[in-house]
Amino acid sequence: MIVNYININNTFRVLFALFLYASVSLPNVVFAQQRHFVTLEITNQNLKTVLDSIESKTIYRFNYRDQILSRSKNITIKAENMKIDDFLRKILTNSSLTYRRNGNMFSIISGGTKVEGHLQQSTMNVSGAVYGGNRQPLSGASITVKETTEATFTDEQGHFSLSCPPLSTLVVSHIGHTPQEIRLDGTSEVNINLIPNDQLLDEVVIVGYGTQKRSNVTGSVASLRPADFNDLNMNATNAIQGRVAGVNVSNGNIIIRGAASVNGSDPLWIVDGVPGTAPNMNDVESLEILKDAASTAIYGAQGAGGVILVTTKRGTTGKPVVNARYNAGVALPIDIPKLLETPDYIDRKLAAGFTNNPDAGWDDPSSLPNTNWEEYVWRNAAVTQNVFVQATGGSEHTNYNTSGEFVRNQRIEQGSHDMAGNLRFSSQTKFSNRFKMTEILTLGFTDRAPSVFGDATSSKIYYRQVPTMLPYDPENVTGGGWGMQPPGGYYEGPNPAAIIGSNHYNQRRYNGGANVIFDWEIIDGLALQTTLTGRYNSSASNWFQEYWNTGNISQEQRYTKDYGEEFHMRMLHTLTYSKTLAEKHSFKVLAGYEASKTESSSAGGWKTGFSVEPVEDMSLGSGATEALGGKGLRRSLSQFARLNYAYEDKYLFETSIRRDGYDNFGAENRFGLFPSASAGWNIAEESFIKNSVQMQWLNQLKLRGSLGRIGNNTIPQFLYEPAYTSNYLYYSYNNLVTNRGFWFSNIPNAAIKWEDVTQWNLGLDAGFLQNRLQTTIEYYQKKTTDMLYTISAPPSSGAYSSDIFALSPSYVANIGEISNKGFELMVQWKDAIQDFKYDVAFTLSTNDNKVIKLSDQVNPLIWTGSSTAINSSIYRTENGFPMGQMYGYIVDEIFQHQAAIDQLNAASPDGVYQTTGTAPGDFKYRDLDGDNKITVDDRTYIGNPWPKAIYGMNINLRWKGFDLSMAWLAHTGMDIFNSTKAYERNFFGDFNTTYKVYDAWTPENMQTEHPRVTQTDPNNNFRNVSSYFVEDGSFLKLNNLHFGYNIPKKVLSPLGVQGLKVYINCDNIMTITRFQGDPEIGGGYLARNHYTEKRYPNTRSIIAGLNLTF
Amino acid sequence: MWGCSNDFLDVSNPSRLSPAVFPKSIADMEQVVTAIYGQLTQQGLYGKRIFAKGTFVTDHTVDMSWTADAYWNQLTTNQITPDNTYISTLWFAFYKVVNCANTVLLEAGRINTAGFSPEDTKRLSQMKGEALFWRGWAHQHLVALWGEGFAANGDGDKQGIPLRLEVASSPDKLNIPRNTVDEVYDQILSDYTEAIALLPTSWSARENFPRPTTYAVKSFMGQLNLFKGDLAAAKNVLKDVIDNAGKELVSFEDYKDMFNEKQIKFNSESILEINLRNGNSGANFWNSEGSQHALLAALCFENAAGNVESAGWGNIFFHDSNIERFGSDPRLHVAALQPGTPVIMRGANTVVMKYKDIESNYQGWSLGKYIPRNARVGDNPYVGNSVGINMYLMRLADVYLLYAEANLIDDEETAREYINKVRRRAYGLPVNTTAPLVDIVSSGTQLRDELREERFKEFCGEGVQHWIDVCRWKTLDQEIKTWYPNTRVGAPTYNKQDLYYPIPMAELESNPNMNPSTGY
Repeated sequence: MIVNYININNTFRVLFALFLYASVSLPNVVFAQQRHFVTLEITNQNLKTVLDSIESKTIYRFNYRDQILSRSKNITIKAENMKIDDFLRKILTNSSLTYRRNGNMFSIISGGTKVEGHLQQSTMNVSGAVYGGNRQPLSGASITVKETTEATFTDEQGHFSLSCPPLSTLVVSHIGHTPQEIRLDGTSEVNINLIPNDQLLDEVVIVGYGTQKRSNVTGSVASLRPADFNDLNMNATNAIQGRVAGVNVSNGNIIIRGAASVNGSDPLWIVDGVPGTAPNMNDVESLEILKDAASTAIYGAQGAGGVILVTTKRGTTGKPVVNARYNAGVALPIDIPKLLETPDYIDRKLAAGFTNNPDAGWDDPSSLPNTNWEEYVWRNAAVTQNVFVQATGGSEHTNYNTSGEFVRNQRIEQGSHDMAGNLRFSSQTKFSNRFKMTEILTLGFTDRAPSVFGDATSSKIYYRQVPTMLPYDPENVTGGGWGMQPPGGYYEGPNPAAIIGSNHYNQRRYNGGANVIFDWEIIDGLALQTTLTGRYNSSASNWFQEYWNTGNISQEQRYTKDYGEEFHMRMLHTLTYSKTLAEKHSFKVLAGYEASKTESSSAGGWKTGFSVEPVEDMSLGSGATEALGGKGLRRSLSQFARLNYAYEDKYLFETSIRRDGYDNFGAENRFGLFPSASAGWNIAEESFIKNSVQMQWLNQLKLRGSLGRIGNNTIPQFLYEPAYTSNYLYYSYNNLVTNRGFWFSNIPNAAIKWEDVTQWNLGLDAGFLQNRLQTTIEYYQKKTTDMLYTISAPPSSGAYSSDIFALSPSYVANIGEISNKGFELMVQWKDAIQDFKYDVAFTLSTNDNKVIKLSDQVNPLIWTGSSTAINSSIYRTENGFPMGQMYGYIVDEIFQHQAAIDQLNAASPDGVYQTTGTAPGDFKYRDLDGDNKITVDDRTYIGNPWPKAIYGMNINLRWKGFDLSMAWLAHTGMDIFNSTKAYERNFFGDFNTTYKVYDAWTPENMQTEHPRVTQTDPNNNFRNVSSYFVEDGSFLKLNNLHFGYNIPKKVLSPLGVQGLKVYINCDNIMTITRFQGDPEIGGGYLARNHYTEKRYPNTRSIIAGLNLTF
Repeated sequence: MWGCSNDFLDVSNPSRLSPAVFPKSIADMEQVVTAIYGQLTQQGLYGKRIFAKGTFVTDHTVDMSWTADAYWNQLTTNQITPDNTYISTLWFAFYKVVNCANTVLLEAGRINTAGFSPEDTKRLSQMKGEALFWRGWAHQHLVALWGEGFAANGDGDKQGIPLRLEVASSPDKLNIPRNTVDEVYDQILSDYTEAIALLPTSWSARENFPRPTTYAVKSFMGQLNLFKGDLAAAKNVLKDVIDNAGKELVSFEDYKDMFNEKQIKFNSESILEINLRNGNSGANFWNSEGSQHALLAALCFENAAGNVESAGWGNIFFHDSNIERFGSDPRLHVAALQPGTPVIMRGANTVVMKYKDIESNYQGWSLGKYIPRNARVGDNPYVGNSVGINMYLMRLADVYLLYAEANLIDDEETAREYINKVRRRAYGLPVNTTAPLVDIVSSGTQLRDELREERFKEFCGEGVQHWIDVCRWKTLDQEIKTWYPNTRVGAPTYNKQDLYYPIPMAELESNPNMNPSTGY
């Protein structure tokens, strides 16, 4: 009965079919794959019967008004594995019907009058040939005459001929290639080059709050498809390195188009439409890097550092496909220095003038310990493992993509590791043709045993150790059994083994998020999208520090627990209307609204007085205790709009505006307006190129320009508001009670506001030779004003600083102007020679950074960059120069004889050229101001940390099942400040040093560039900032080498496996440089490329992996 | 759910106290006042560094056992450069006191007193008095250490230090220039005068003893008048303290233990002292209510294994020359500990040993004042490396000697009598009875020099007195020649700019209106 009812009422029929289909779609997909083609034999049946039988045999569904089916005559047809479109075209050819396809849903509609009204014109014979991607003739390509049923196929040699009216348009198509239309304009012979799908240029790119056809993009947007460089085990940051022009990725730090601000300007990551962090590359569908202001202005105050848009994977229709990946490897430290062993340590200490204290036992080095501390601090190799499983599948109405990952990576420091697990589920459901819901759910945890020693934030660096100390000493019972500082002095530092062994530290984080996106096409062309996001993070850390005493130094026992949670909510609505008028004027209008709110709170505390070590329960302690906790609140509110206009896809225009409000700016400057405009001209779309047979080699040519204003809001909140803190202030008036003192925690700046960046951009995109050769050239200028900067305030203000040993307090203000100009070039050649496919991409970027003006009234100079060993700031930022330049003395030579020093001293006004202690073996600094005396005025610019050019080259080669890829990176024309020389070539403080100390100047070793090593260093050779420490940092690196083999399908299919790949990845395997360590340092804006004693060792890694699909 | 208005963004920091809600009551104000005292026990000042990385090094009270720190060594050889971090933190630390005092004055001026009881109102005016005193006190130390001369020597028009008279509450109030020495003195005197009017002559509750009384202010006022060269004013105000403060010198028996863990806090001789407490209740190693001075200057003792062990880090020791300089004066054994002196460590009786890590030709005595003799620093009860031995900022002996100095020119008899009172106590004799074996009888330059030596012996290892004395008497050159031609890190060299510390590089780099110190 129901069936009958359904049969007579087609509205219900459709709804029911939808419902039924949706509810059974998941199991359906298992066998759906066989049902994409039509195999049918029908003799003289009506159309309805034909359609019903297709529905029963295939995945396709039809939707029609019963009345119109009568317009079709009875049908006789025999089809075998025929494509549905071909089949329908065939059965509808002689009727007045046609169809419209929407996925697997077909609407049978009236065909209109066009065909019927067409009068036969005089015809002509047209012939030619069709070629494919590697200029191979294409057989079986279909050539149809547009708006007629006239059609033919090419033969084995790719040739065809047909007859048609002289002004016809031919539609040429072939599987695996993009269909192409050719207007004949009377030509009787045409050769047609089809572009293979995998070189498809006119892909859809993701832009801020929307999508755009690549050919219609007027801003500067680079796209990366991770599918192109699969299995490289890279994170998203490293994947960008060298692949995108204009982006400087160094040691994990990204700068897009130059350092726009001394305050730093990291790019904004937008993941599936909302701000986030770089996700797992295995889940990434596409990455778009928005570089110019027109592309980023829609992100307003967050856009100044550029925007990286990430779209994660969605489900694909069809039976479930499971992809499992496993890889394991090792990371090998590459710059751990070899420190002196006991006999050499004593030898060099004595040579440096240290006294031989009888207590120390230096007279008989063999009687002393000879500890190799590197073994206690670092691993020789850290083992890394990663498992990733992804499954996708779905029906036309619902699809899913879900993945899980587990990572366990040792860190280079002994005892430390990172462990993480993530689950992700994304699914998309179509409720109707107009309404769709997408949800992306994530769950994750990390479990970390952090480094406690040698970490970048720690001052306990590993040069501070002596081989004459034992790691363990059973006699040091009260001190925890750790080795004591050796007798006789000269070492007041810690026992590295004690630090690692006595810190029981564990940090866990849990996060979860939901991103729900509703799409509603209200009427044709008008779409509303609403995104609702919720995210939480929580963290827990447990840190037990055992008591130890190793002589003059001890660690207090303390158990610290910290907990924190954060909850983030965001809503985002966009309304888009697109309309094409008269088939020429395309308009797209976007209006949007976004608001977010983050709340966090934390609690923690510590206790002492535990009789057992370590414990995990606070209540077991009986000593002093403290409880701490805080609360955070953050909000934003934005509105934005954009208009796109294109005339025949040739002349493109776009303009956008955003109004942004953030609570980190005071009431006077809380909201900012960020406008932009851009235009493009698709020159290759002009008929004189497009239709010219001679110009077939030019497939794409687009000139574009843009201008916009963006902001940088990356500063802490509440800088405008005074507040009290009791940090650091304790006093006891009467020995019974501890009182807390309250003082102002900041120097408020009520006028704090956005940092403004104005940028213009000019670009030319071109594609040649069927787009096998693609190039992009761009030039930009970027100007930053009202730069946000943390300015050192005079210590005489007596104001609070969160660092108890800071030499001055600070506050944040808008100062100064900075300019960045740059040139970018991208060239890609992609082709195939039979089975050998290759793809070579080259990028080149230059950037010219200059500080136009810092604040005149506050401070015209910024000094920064320090090392414990060096006696002044290393980097100077000043008007008219690039940011953060190395500034110090120039070393002319090493004094070989006292006579040379005496001569200079005699000429000096006060009898001393450098210092009173200057002696042979010391540096002679250059007297720049000619006053015969070395003073601070003799310092000058001695090094530049910014590369003159950055080159990237990526090569991908494929032959049958093999693939090989290489990623090369070069930075040229930049310097590194190597302050480790003060540690590796000198005895700093009571530290040990390396074997390089043997290169030092001595009367017997005068041919050297390294000064003498003495206990006192009276000439400050190792303390003054000088050209001695500045080294050429240029490098050429093979950053990644990948070699993989895909097991042939015929081997796998009997096993039910679709694909299996085995591969090896090597990272950071080869560097050509003059620098002693890994020259890829980066880091920071005002004190960049500083190779310090506080660094964490760099690694190279070798990873083997499997990638299995079934 | 679909939208928010602009006031959605009007949030205030939920984690900090805003001036809109704090301070509201007299109890809140007490916490603002406590900030001043909290600053005194911070790392830069009496909480750790002022002596061991400051005046004890430049005046050669100590020599270096640990020689690996270049900036520390600079202090030892009187060759300081403006980038010296210890001088920088000392400068910053005194100004933090000024800032907290200014904060009290700011809030005391704007707090709503409508609901205050008469006691609250009285307490509020005392708070203003405390703040004015501490602001003057910090400025006085700043100008003594960084000012390029003393008005008494005719250097009143030389470069002084910037006077901070209000909280730097916005960027335009930051970059102030240096005032002259005279201008600084005038301001301090005005602050002291105002403070005297607001403070009580004594505090009755024990918990208020660390606060200044009018007599504490007057003692510093007398000292400042002496530095200024206004001898009449100095005599007048110091005599007032001597006659009316109700203070007397303690016996030598008490004096001996006045600087160690057996001390009686706030004794009859004490005019102003910092209350310190053992242990560490702060959030980390660097915060405490005690002082970590003894960590750096720890005594060295014989441990159970028979070896030298330091009862802390043990970086500095009593300069060998000072042993000779004291001669037979009994105060030597208060200021320093001779190897062999009995002490108790880890509950066991043991002895002081020659300082660790130094050559055999050194005597290596440990410092004696503010150093516990009953446990290692870091061990119970000095957990967190914090020691609760109170430190003296002003005591009656100082007032006597300042008064004697003010009388040198025109009343040598009075001068001698007040020097001799202090001397008699040091030899365990009745203070007010002439003692021919001990008393000074000289006059003229010799009397002046004996007074100077008396101040050295009385205050050695105790405070900033000796370094400031050396600077105002301009005797550094002579001291180096006579007593300190050598240290373990090299020979000190005298240049005339060594009589004041350099304005720190951090100040010069961030304050374009700041003049560097002459000669640096």
